[in-house]
Amino acid sequence: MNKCDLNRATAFLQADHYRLEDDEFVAHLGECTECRQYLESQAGDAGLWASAGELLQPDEFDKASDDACSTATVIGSTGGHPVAIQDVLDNLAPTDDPHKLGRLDHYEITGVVGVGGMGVVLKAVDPSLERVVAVKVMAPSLANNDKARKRFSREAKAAAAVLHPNVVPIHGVSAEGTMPFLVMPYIRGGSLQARLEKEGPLPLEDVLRIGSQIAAGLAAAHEKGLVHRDIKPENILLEEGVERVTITDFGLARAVDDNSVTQKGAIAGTPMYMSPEQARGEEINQLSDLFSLGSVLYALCSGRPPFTSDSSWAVMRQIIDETPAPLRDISPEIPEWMAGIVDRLMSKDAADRFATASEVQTLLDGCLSHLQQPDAIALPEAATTVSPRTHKRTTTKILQTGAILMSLIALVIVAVVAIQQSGTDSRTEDQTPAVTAPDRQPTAADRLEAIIKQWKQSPEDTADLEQQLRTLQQDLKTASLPDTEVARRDTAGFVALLWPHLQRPMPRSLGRVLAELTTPDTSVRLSDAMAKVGRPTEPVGWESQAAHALALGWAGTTQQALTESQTLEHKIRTNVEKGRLPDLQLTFLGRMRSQQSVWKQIQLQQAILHALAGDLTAATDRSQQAASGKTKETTVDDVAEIQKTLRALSVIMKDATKQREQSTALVGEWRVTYSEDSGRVTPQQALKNVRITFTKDTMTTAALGQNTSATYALNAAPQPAHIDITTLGRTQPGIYDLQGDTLRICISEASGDRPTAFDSQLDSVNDVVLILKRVRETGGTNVSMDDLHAGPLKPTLARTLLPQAASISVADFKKLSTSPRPDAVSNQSLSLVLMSLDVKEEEPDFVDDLQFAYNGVPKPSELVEAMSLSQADGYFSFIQPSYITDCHCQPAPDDASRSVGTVSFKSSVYKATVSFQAEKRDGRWVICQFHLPHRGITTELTDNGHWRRTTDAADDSTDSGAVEKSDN
Amino acid sequence: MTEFPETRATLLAGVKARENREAWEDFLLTYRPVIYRMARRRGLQDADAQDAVQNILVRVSAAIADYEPQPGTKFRHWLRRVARNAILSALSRGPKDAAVGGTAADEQLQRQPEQDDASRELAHEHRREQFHRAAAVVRSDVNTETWQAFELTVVQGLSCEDAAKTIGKSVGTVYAARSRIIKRLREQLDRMQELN
Repeated sequence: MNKCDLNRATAFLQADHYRLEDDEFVAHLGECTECRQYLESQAGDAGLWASAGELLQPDEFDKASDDACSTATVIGSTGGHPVAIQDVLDNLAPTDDPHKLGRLDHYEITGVVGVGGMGVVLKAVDPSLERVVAVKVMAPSLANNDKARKRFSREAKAAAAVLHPNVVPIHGVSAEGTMPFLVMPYIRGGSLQARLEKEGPLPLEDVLRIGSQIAAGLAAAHEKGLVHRDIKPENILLEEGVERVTITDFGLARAVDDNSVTQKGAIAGTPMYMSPEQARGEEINQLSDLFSLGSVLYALCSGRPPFTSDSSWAVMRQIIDETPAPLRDISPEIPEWMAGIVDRLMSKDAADRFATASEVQTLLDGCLSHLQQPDAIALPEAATTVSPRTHKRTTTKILQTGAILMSLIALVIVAVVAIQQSGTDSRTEDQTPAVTAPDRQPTAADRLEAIIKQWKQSPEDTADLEQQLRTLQQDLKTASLPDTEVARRDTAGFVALLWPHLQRPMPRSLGRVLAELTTPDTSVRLSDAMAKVGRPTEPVGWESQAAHALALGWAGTTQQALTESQTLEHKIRTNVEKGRLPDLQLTFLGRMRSQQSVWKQIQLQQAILHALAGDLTAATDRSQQAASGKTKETTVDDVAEIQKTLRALSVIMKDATKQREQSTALVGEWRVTYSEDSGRVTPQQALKNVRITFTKDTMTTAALGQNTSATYALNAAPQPAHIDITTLGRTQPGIYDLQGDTLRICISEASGDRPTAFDSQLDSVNDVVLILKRVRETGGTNVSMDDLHAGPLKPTLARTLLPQAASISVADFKKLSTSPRPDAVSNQSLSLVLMSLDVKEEEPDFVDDLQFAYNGVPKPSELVEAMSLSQADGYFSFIQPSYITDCHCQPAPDDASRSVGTVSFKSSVYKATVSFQAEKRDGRWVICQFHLPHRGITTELTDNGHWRRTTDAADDSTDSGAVEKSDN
Repeated sequence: MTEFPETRATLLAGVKARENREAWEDFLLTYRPVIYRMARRRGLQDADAQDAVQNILVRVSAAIADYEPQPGTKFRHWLRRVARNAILSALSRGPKDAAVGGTAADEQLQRQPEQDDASRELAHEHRREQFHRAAAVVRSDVNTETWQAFELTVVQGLSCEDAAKTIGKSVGTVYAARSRIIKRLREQLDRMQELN
């Protein structure tokens, strides 16, 4: 800016509502005193500047008076609102009271409490009853979505049906209107999450008291056939001063038998407290809430959620596959019975959990009484018998002490050494140092070590071995050993895991014992222990399952082994379906399902799962084991199958490598060249300074001086490739496409369904479409838009330009909203008026969309209403990208600097096809003419930037008068 | 403080007409902190100051029962006059029964300068509260750095250069930001003024 343009200062001040940044002017302000003074005088007179400086001075009474008197702090402290909040606030009705944020029905909104998955929670005053309430408003962007709307009203129905002191009651519901909302009491005190963040782990007594109340609330909801689906500390409210806990946010609750809205498989909820069945996208029931309750109790005891990771996907994998760190490892003060209760609630298998929420409530109440009066009241029986369930696979764990863990690790070293030696020189006597402490009864580990030693000496004497293991098992069961159940399982697990190294068949009798002793989740710990002694075994759930299946296979209980193995196969299949694996020939697994090759089958499954987990060395190792097949007879068919498998496996491995490469593909800095949110295109001006930076797993958007961070996960295998973006615990499924330096992303904003295409088609109104261009250090700016403008006009660009051409400036929009005549507004809005004119001829269903009932020129109020629906940053447009169904263009036959094209719209908006012309002005394409053939109307962009309208036929003049004038 | 909604119900009891109700609610929002601060400035502790606020407001609300709409007078204006009197008489020092040996006129004379001071103080506090309320609205509407640019320079008196360094933005940005805030503040204050 060479000479000072004072108008620019004025324009700058006016523009602030619309975030149009004039960088050049700002830079100029840094140097030019004259412009500063002018700008400041335009902003307010000297008196105002002085008063602001003086009166806004904080003083010693401020803090006190805020606390005592003001509600302004509610809004004052939040700074910038996230988009969803702004969206809701923008849609509130105006209020006379400048201190309030607005009005919704008769509720005066006084502040923002928070944002949830479905909308925004506002604090409000209900003037008719003189009470403060919380109003949960569905975000307007979501309210357009029929599915979301249904879910919202279902939430209201569900929650209103439950009347219980531990469930937040619903005062009222308004499901109609642009912003459906429901009204609840405003509960002072904050959420359990807030307390957790502030205080860390809670005292056991509080944990029990809170847990029992959650269980009571859940029991009431469950009785009505509801599943909350989203029990987590944020949804548990603590009333101030009262020891009462209330469950809120039945946002995802649903009647068990109502499949119509929440589709099976559509994962909804915050992942950290999800149940495994929820994470797998399976049908869930009330028992899922019990798992979440267990997770909440875990968090209350330990101060952190049981499963944490960088991405939701990873969290969900953990929930499905892994066992959380034992509570008593984190805090040894937690009593065993408490850890046992949490573990049981968090059983992977729903059947292993407690049967009902009220059972849990009774138990926790009993424990609380015991805690308060340990001498008078005994611990409830259910808490003392930690694994009383008859189910064979009880997952309750008692936690091992450090000493046992250490001896287990020592044992692994010993055993591995011993076995390696037995493999090379089977008869050499090599004494291993004893781990037994002199003055104590031998532990199970000691005993097992002795057994292994003996077995090594006389491997053929399996009968004795079996006898010893049985005795060991019996001793463990009757608790005559200073060991825990875990140790018992672990020792058995060791044998199961170590046996393959012997490369000899396991006697069936021994296998049977092992199978009985081994359970899937003990082996997780084994893998853990093995990892600690230097074996790169990943402690993931499928391994333990595989170990269990192997043990069963050895034991000859083929049927059970097959069941286990089928579960593994199911996991593989799920991965294929999720697109994490190419569509493999999985049939070989089926064909190998015979008694002879169960072991091989499992080896192969393990190989595949290893490959999936990215451990190619282990995968190769497993597949070779399967191929060598020394333990079983190998038939010709088997060999063929195995070869086939290995080929398939190499495909997986290649893919895994590709995925790893892909995971870094987006790393770097990107510019946004196009952005469309729910059908609204962001003007280029606003995109100018937006930068998105990807690291390996995070995505940071820098705009307007604020950074927004999200995590993301890619899956390049499917077509189109998947991207999942997680912000504030909420994951949005999307697709992406990377071509050279251009990245396209389309994210589902509201529906939760993954988009299928990048364009702005009819069904993508709720999606966000971004086109990004990689920022290269050497490259100039605006490469991408220049690229688009460089060649002939392409439909992609035309789709962006058309809405802009049919747009109206903010100033004109304001004028239109007050002026009685649309011709009072200037320039581009005329094309808008034109576009709206013909709507009147269309069939009635346009009325639903735009409410243009007026015959002829639409009323300004109608225009305003239609356009306000489309409010984008900086301008309002009648044509939204999502209205465009078809767009074609080609160079004009006689003039390379012009293009001609046609555009069609959603029939509910505008039925006819409109032709248009574009020309290059200063190297950029500009839409310069619209033609409505069936109406014989043409509008042309004149040199002064205004649109001039002409009619092809002289007799068509009935409604043109109002819009002929284009000057202002 | 949690007493806010409950006491308001009591205070509202006498106000029937809807527009008067709004005026009254608005009045409460502004005057609560004003009275509280004036009371604190007179040495009252937090709880006593809150009591004073409550007493004065109850007294004002009782007067509302006597209010009769008259052509040309707005409830808002009437309310402010009543409130002003109640506040000044309650918070001016020199309780009536302490004026031993003097006539009522003497007492009145003695109290006059003090009342003038208190009156000025009230006007100042009222204006201050309006600024704070307007600022809260503006602040909720802009991003943190824009607000900081304003607060550091205009309120805390830092130079624009220093403020720019503190928030890590250019000097131009600071100038631009604070002007925008002032402009919005002005608009917000105007809007609040229109109501009165």
